[in-house]
Amino acid sequence: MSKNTKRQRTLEDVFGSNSTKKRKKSNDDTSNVDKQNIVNTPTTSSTVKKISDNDLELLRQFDLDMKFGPCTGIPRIDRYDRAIRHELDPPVRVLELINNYPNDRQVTHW
Amino acid sequence: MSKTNKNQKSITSFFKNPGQTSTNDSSASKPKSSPIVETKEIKKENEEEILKMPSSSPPPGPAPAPIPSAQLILSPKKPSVAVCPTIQRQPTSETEWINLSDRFLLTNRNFEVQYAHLYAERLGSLRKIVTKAAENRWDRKIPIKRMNDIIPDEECILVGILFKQMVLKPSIVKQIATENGFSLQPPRNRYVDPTDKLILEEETQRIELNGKIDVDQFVTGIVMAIRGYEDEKGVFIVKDYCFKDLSIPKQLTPIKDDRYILLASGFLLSETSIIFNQLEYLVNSLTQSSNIQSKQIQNILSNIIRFVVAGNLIESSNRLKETTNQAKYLTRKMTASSVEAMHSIDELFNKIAAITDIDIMPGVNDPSCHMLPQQPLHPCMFPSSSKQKSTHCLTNPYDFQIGDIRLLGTSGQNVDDIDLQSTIDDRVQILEKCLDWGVIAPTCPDTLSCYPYVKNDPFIINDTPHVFFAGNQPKFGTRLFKGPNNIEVRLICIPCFAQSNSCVALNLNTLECHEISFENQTPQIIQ
Repeated sequence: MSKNTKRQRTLEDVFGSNSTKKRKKSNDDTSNVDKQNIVNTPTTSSTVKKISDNDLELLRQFDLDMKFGPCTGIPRIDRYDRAIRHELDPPVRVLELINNYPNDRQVTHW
Repeated sequence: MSKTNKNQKSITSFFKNPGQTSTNDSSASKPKSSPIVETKEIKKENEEEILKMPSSSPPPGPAPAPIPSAQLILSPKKPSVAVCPTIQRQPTSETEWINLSDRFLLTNRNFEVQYAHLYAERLGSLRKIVTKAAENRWDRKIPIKRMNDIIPDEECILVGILFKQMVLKPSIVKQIATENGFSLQPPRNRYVDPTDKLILEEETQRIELNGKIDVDQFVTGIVMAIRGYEDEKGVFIVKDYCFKDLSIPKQLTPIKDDRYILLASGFLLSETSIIFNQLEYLVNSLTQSSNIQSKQIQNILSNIIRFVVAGNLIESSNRLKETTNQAKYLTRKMTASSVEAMHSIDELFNKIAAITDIDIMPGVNDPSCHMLPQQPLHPCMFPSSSKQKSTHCLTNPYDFQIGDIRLLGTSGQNVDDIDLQSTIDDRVQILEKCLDWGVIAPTCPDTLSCYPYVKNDPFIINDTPHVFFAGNQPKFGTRLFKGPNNIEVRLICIPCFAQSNSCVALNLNTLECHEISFENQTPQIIQ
């Protein structure tokens, strides 16, 4: 239980989960609260895997590495694409993680 | 906020992407089916066209590098479409018009990202090109370093983006800090001060600049390489600097007959306009060009293939502010002066569109979005002229091709803003500097409002145009800029029609420019 609450205190909780909603997704009816609940309670779906702490730490290090530019407000995949475009050699493991957990908002967004 | 955004999205996507097909379908010719269905169809077409572009043109910005194999194996779900700068295309005929302003059209509007990404994108895309330019210009023994690696008193080369710290620059923070929220200072002609500082920024660090660099001749947002050393105070003493090399534009072959484009801007129509006579003379000269006495002008006006209006069709209305403060019942029957002004503009364009193709770019005063890149004016504002296939509504900045000639221009906001932030007096010099720096509007987004781009910076000049123009300038100015590798670019400052009553005629064969005055009934060339 304490592990879950520790992980909930991410940047997205401080700044809200509205920041990088794509316009296409605004057509569906799930409210923000529902979405947040879906992400933070992984036990709702048995197919959703939990990301390990080490991997999460790797993603955070990717965020904080200023070599790839600012991290706020854009999805990690966009930042990774920008790093590739500018030939900055981002770690491939980050791309693997983003693709393995497409539904986990902690992984896809900063 | 979301409601207005939705409306904006539907209006701009309703208007079909201009220039993709040679005939422009205006809104009036479409059948009256449900607009929601149409917007989705057109938006899908736009998306498909944008997605097609990466496959047809090479990767953007720096020298194309092989995509790491990891991306091909574990490719992400959404295709990572880097919006490519539009590459010059092969024209099918000598005077074919090709619109290359796709990168300025906004499809998805996300205002929840910060502007830091735009700067990161600008620096990231230009870093390789500027580094190459630095290697070519300076001795290869001087190391090109990152800021965290520099050793004091050792000569090195740094590449970064410039930031100019100006005390007089109007700041919203200072404005809020005063008790009543009034602005601390009235608007000035220039925000230049002797205490201004230049700072070079990288992704990780910044360093103050001093030395052989004239602070007043630079603005924020320029990507450059500087050669020098760091002194004991931590200030970088500059010995020399350089910008990106200009790409070589296509070699022009002269065509048989002389063809001209007429450039105009700044009609500034309002209820107090006095230029209606001059506009009459303009239209008469174009329609009845055989009646003109002077052979030279007759030759010019009868061979015009395009009329480009570079913004500011109407005057910015001050009366609007009074009416918004009044009660609704008092203002019910009043129409904004801009409505009548647009009506007069529409009549004018209707007459001109009968003779030649007309390109309409929005300006600062026009009913388009305030931030750059300004989106095309909606054809519903030109009810009669938009029925003709020869009217085209375009973005500001405007990038297009006529035959082999590449033209790039804006309605002048970029030039005006650089004039505010620096002491470069000559407007044509500012145009030349923009070309040198490689960015159409370097002061975006610092002092000039612009859309917060993330994936690309459309203001970078990747392909050097043959003609670079800016509208709404105080007076006419032109120069043939001669760069390295036999690059020649015609720089044009188009004067404001409301003040000078003149248009600019550009000869597409020789790239010569003439200013034609319509002040009197007979047009005259101003030498």
